[in-house]
Amino acid sequence: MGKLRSMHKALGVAAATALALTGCGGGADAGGATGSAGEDGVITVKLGVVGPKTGPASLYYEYMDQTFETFSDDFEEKYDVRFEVISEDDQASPEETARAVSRLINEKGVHALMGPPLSGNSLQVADVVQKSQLPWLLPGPNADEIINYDIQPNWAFMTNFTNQQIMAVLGERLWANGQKVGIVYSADGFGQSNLQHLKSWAEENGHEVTAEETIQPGASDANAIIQRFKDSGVDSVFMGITQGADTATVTRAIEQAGFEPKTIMTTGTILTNYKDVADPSQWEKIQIVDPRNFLEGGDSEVLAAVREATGEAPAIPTNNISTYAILDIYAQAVQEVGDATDFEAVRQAIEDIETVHIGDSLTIENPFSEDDHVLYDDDPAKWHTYGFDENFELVHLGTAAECLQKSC
Amino acid sequence: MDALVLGLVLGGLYALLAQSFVLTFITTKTLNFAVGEFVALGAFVVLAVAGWSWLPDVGKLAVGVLVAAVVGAAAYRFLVVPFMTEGEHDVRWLLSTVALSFVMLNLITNVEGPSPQRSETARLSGAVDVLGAGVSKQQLLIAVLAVVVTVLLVVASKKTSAGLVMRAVSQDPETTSLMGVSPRLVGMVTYAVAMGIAALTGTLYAATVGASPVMGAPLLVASIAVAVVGGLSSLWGPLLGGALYGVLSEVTSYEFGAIWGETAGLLLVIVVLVWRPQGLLGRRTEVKL
Repeated sequence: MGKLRSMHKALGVAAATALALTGCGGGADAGGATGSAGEDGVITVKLGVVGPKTGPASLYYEYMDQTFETFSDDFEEKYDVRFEVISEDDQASPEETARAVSRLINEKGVHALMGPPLSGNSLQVADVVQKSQLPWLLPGPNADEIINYDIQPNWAFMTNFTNQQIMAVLGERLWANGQKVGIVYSADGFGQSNLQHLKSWAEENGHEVTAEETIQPGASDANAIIQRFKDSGVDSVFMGITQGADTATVTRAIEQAGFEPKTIMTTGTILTNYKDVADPSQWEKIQIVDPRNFLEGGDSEVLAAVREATGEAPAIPTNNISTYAILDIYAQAVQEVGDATDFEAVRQAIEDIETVHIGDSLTIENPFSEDDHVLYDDDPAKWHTYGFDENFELVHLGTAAECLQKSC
Repeated sequence: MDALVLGLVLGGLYALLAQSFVLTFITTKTLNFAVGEFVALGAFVVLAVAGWSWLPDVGKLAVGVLVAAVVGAAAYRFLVVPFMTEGEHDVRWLLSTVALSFVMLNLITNVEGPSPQRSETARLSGAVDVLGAGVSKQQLLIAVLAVVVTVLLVVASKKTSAGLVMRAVSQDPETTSLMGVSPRLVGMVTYAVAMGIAALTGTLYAATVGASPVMGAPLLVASIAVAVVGGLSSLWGPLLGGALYGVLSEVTSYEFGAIWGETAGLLLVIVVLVWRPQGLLGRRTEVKL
């Protein structure tokens, strides 16, 4: 009897755990999404969205969610395209991502796939999505390796910058005046891709990376990393780190060690989770480069609209903008083709798109071609360099090209 | 010298948390695998009362410790005791504490969100110079506290009647229960103290890295390793284990790169398990079959 009671209790615990783990999973079925125009002339698209709805990385789903919430009606009004979102929770794990993508493609019959948002997980499912021959919308990842242009027609489209691009823009700045460069990067797909492209750029341009160190997510300190940088004579640091909180661990160690490199550069990932765990003295020398203008024009309009509609800060500002861009691109393509289920025609329409709109006042002309499915290019004159004031508000320092000349 | 100093300080953080494992193991022969979530629980409770300006920081810390202690005692009563009824080889508590870890993680994430939140309670800014190495004041505070807590636990276990009862239950729960002592109650009190220590660690650590649902996870492996190296049955063990683990991982990181630091610490665990399975300061216990 005691054993039976114990077993019942064990089952109870297991059930509670299962409920807690699956409580938010799954997505609603989109019954009326035929992919072609209904009586009201609106084309309802069944859009599969995969990302970490739950768990510690859920910000990487939230930015997509916020952007849908803010702009769905606008896209319907502008392009007569309505999005019926079928979402799957990948919990940021590669295994769950593979399962979620498979479910969306094979069981839910989605007309296009958005996500996963993390580079490593996108790399994992790239072959599967490519073979499924569905438009693949990627507003989040930065890893160039996700798109293999040897495979044509290619179905993936990215609206974030890529790691190869940021290295092309940043390389000269990092190595300016013969500086010795060290990179600290996350132990994930994003970080590995950063390292690889920094080293490639250095090799192609006759430089070498003096020190390279990896940081584990949630690492309790980075003292050894910074000490090794100091000992190697590094005076230019690039941080290719996914989470702002881990970036804070590194900048805390820099301050603690009294390390004063001439240049500290990173990416827009610092805009998420950094400010709350760092102090002004730790960010005063940090600069970021990004192809988006967060302070004025269409990019800033998107962020302001998200703030107003959701009542929250944009979860990942860079990616909120990227999500807007990819939805604008896809909606235009579907409107032009008139049938979201004609996948090849939609893919071709995306590839041939003439004008991408971001907010009300920014347009990007002819961004794609057969062997270029990335929205931005690596012209330093089009990229922006930002620093931070004591409240962690962005300060525009000039274009990347200007900052290379005048050392912002 | 820098690596030595910083390693000792880092080891202090692990040692403080490792006491949570050692305490429950000594008294109940169980480990709570949800310790990482108790770290987060303490941090978030303190964050919740941070706005109580009438209460000094020490009082806010006490609230966090108290809440974690109550939840810890309840966890022992309802999720550990029922799953260790079949004798020494009944380890179902292992699964139930892992399940508790998942449930707490999801609950905390759903309530507080996944992002780290700044915690100013008991926060010391800046660094001090210790033998030429720049050491964060907050980390130094945690390391000093690890020593203080250890000394207090050792003194309490040797000089107080509660400590005597704890040691008696640890050695022979059946006989002590015949003498009117409730091993279950002693276990609950031990779990309360252990989870209170985890919450204390969490609050002080959150002042550096922010409070987040997953903040305890990166500390968990290192803390278990420290407890095993020092010896799960010794209250002094975490200090020795923490010092060795911290210094070894920091020196290795300095010499060969950060990626090798944690690996070196875990190799130390394997070496100790082969050479002295009971840990460096642990006592070997013989089980009569």
